[in-house]
Amino acid sequence: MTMRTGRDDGVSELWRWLQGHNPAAAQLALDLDLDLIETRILRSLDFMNFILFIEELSGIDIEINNNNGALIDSLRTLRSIRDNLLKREAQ
Amino acid sequence: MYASERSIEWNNRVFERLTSLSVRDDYTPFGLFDWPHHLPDEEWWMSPELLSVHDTPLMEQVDEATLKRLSKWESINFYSLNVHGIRELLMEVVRRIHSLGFEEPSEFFHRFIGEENDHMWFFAQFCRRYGGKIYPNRMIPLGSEANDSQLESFLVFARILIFEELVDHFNRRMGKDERLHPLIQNMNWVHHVDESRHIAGGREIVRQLHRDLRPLKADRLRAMSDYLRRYMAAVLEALYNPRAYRDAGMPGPHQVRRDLLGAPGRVRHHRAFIAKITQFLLANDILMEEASA
Repeated sequence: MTMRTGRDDGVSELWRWLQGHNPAAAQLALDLDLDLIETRILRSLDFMNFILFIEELSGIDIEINNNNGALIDSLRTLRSIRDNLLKREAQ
Repeated sequence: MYASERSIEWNNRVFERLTSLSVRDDYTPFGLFDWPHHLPDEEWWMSPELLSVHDTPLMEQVDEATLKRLSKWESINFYSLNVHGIRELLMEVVRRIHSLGFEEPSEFFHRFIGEENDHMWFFAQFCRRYGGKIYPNRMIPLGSEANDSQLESFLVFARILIFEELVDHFNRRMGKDERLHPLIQNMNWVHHVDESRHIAGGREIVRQLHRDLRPLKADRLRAMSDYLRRYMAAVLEALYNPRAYRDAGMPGPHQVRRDLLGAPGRVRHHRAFIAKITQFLLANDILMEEASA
């Protein structure tokens, strides 16, 4: 697994956020491909604050709705969040 | 084991009474309100005491024009939450109407679905006409919360009830607040009147579904209570929307949200918003302790 580091990465900050909000994540190592939804590391009731955290980190507005499966899929792993949402910051 | 959905013993008299009241007071929302072309930004759109900045240092720091703009965007946020909340509850009730276990409240569900559709229509109208948008939904279910249909049904109806009772706190106040435009008062009052029936029916459903879950082990009942406490906290947090702060022209909207959520003055307001539902859930041993507000 390769991982970019540095301020523009944001992945470590996202992982720390998840660990802070879900005790089940506290003992896990950061894995870019872990399915956050399937494993319930990201829980429904934390979803709103998680999205707001990504928006603050990336400076972009995330337009998501219930019928937009592709966007929910883009939040499924840290890798897809990094590639689809955080990278837009640098564009 | 606990009772299957087939054997739920509903108190049908409650549903019959609520259904006949709904039929008696039947209305269509489409000609009910006068929609002015424009609502001025210089007026209150939401009671200032219901704003998320109330009883915080920020209330003193920002000028009245900004507070009034904030009242506009926090009202758009409030009605947007209603639109999304209603969509979720409609899907869940439609999934259950005339299904095993829910035959008896189904007549009530027909009225409920019709009225909720009306509410979603007028809240969406308001957002689009005067805000030009509906804020996006952020409370998206990422899968089932329980691997058991009866437990899932209980959680669904408990969430609906919590949401409706929180909203009703706002509706009752704004429905009688003469500082607000008559349209805003009317819309909130019409919603309150319908919701008082939905809340009465919802309480009956939640009470009965929970009664049938009592044979569950203590740790599962505890987990349910914890989940509902977290749900209540999430609904309260949804009232604090960084986009509303940004639209009101307040700098650093995410920091504003954090500051407000951490402001000691907000605690008693959160308690007041959910006081009635908390009392109901505690009295019926559904919540084991109060939600941390």
